[in-house]
Amino acid sequence: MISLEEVTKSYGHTKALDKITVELNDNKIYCLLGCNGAGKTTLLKLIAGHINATSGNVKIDDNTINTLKMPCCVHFIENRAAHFNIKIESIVKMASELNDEFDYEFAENMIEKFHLDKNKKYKTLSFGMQAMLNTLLNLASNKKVVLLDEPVLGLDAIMRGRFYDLLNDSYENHPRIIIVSTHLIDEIAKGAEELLILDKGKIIHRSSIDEIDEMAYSITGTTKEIEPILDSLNVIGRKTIGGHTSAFIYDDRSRIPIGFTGHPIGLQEFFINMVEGDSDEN
Amino acid sequence: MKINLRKALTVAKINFTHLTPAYIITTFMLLIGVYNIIACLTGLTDNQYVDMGNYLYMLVVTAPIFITSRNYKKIMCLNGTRMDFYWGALINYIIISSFVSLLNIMLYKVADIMFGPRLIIWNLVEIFGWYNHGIIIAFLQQFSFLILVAIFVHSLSIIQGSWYGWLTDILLIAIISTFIPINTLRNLLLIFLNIIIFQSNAYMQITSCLILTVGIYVLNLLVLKKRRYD
Repeated sequence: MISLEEVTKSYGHTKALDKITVELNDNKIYCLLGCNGAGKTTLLKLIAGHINATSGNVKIDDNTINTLKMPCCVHFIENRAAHFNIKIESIVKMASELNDEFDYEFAENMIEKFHLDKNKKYKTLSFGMQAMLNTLLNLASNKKVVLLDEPVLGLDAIMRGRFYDLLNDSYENHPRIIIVSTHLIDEIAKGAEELLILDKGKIIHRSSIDEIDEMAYSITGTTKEIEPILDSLNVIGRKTIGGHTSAFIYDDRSRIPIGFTGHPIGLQEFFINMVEGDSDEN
Repeated sequence: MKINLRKALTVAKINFTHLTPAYIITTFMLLIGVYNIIACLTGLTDNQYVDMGNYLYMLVVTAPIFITSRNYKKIMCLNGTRMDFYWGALINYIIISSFVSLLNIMLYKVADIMFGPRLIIWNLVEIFGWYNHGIIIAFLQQFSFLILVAIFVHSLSIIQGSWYGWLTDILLIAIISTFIPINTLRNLLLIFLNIIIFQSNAYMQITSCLILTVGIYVLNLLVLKKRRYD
């Protein structure tokens, strides 16, 4: 369905994406994780055909995508989209007129559920409400591929909870490829099935969330005890404080040496270790 | 190149709904026209009246500016495609040019009947010689000229902010400032204006304007491919 072959995107001398090759074929909620400037938004924009790749091919259903051949099965409205300053009702209507598959009823229900005032003008909405409206437009689009860029940015805990419900409801009603880029890692784990970690323009990790739950763990002990056993494990990071070391491992749990216990680590910790690796604090 | 007519029409509708600044500027110009006619009729000024329809040209000039600078970004933010925008904007310019051309001729006819005996009425349709070939040809000549103007302004607006936009601005200023003082170059400029405006052969004028329009608008595809909206 979505295929990126050796895709590089440069802005001047800066490489936002560096020879990325990835295929996303199954209907799933994919979580795209990465630090600021890792290239998440660039990747989403390339898939949506909003920008052109510097080199390589972006294909949707075997059709090469560029800015003049934007894929009709992909929906992407940015979180900070600049809409006309008109009533929310009119924005939803306009979006539905531009998209034959738009689920107007779903959008209306969600507006009610999230207590969005239909008669309020876009610019009078809070940042969080604007983000919610854009997420709602994306999910109501009913397209085969929906891209959500930082949909929970600026939302409070209650609104974030509602967003995850909305995401799951929408996916259950209409299974499709949904790619969510976010910083709030542990929360998205409730809904997402597959995780892609982007760092410095490269995909450094791809696996299912279940796989991470099973294979990511930490072992703790004195540095003297821990160091010798780490050579045989896939260590993604370690933290040493005053002679004690916590090692973060991504490996088969059956390989944990006798006498050590593997403690489960959260997705956030896994992500930080994948991106940052070692840290020593003495 | 596939055209999704329904989506192009939707874009055109969105553009028409969100052209308030262009409508305000044109209305302001029309009010000047109204004042002008009152002043002429009441003897406040001499009996030379610039026909109101001429002020409608302002819509042809201002609409592309706002369509490209304001609406483009917002249509893209609603997940519209560049091609929808491309064809939608063309529909806008065809409708605006037809409307202005038709209304200008109608206003000229009405003004001629109402004030013809008392006032000297100035209308570009007459000045450019388009009226010499009858109303229908005048409409077509004016339409083809106006759509060329609209597409030219659209192209000039959409390239602003890019290096080729600045280059085009400098080239245009260079052409105007060097062609006018130098006799040979001025003649070249006059030949060009003769072809697109003053051409006595109406069909030649219409064809020239439409060919230029199509040429410039095709070049817009290259610009649109690179043009960012964020």
